[in-house]
Amino acid sequence: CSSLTPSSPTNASQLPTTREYHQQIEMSGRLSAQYEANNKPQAVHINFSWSQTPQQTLITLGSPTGQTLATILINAQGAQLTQADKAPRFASDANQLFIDMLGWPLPIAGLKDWLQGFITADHATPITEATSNNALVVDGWLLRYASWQTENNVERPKRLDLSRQTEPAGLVSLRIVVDEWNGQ
Amino acid sequence: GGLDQFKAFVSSTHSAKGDFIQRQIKVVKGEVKLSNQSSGTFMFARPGKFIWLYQKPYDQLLQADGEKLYMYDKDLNQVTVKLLGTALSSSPAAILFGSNDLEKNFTLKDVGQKDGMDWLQATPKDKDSTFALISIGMQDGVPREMDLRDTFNQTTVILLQNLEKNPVLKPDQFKFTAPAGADVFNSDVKH
Repeated sequence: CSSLTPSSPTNASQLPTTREYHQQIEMSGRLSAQYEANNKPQAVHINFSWSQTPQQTLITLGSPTGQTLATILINAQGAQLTQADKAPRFASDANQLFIDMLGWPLPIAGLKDWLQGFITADHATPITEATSNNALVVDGWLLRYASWQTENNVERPKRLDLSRQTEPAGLVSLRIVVDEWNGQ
Repeated sequence: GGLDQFKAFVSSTHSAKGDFIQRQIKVVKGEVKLSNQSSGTFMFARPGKFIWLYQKPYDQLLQADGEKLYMYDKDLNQVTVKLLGTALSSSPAAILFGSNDLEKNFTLKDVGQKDGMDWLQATPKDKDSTFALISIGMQDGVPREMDLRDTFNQTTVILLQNLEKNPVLKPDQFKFTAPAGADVFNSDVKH
């Protein structure tokens, strides 16, 4: 019956232009992380800025009232996390550094693709609102695109939800909203 | 000076409401840049009750009912509930809305006049605070501006406007009810 046939594509001219992957991009937004620390539920609400170039990615985490909580710099040499009032810490694996220092994991390598709506490293086919209605499993994370936004005729992700069972942070769930997006 | 105006304000103000504009000062390659402006309304009643509502550019609410701290973000569709406890002590909220024994948590000192305001500085005694320094500009006995410098040398400027002292407040003014459909997450409650 008709419900099996794919819905007719909307008129082509309205379709937003397909999104390319930006090797260089500046983003900012908000995220919440829920996790466990010594088996008590914990949550943080954070404003973040994300500055990515082919050579490095710099992420700044701040409180709603604008105080910087931590900065994370990732480049070929590895990851450096600097927290308020603490000496910078280095590690080859940013994820582990994150868990050790902040208590919850931020899958930065994956987010470099997922925030822009790609899940394959070759950035061949972007995910779109039409193709994103069910959750995907990527690198062990359950990833769901909760909302989308179209800016100057390019559709991009607005909110992503991620969850994963982890050690020692238990069930971690992240919600990320991207407010500002400028890719070169 | 600023300090005695501020102390008089703290002792004579049990509650207040008004509007705020918040901007971030970033020094990029030596050049001062004002960025991501947000604005909204605030209301507080001592000790430990406040509503700090961001209306622009997005909907975000920080609310304390004297016992718990609620953070609601509309786009994230989420409310996080925490015990107020020490969350308040050395945050900007404590300056305006905390209990009035400020000297317990801050070292206060006068730093003179600038931009038509009498300024004082509050340095958190708690070393773990994300703040290095809070500067408050007083004018006609009320705080007009708060500059919050963090330990990364980033400064947030908060302008307070239309401040009304000791307004009439409803008895349950600071009672929080989660917006319909929002996911509520209780933090640090399970012992």
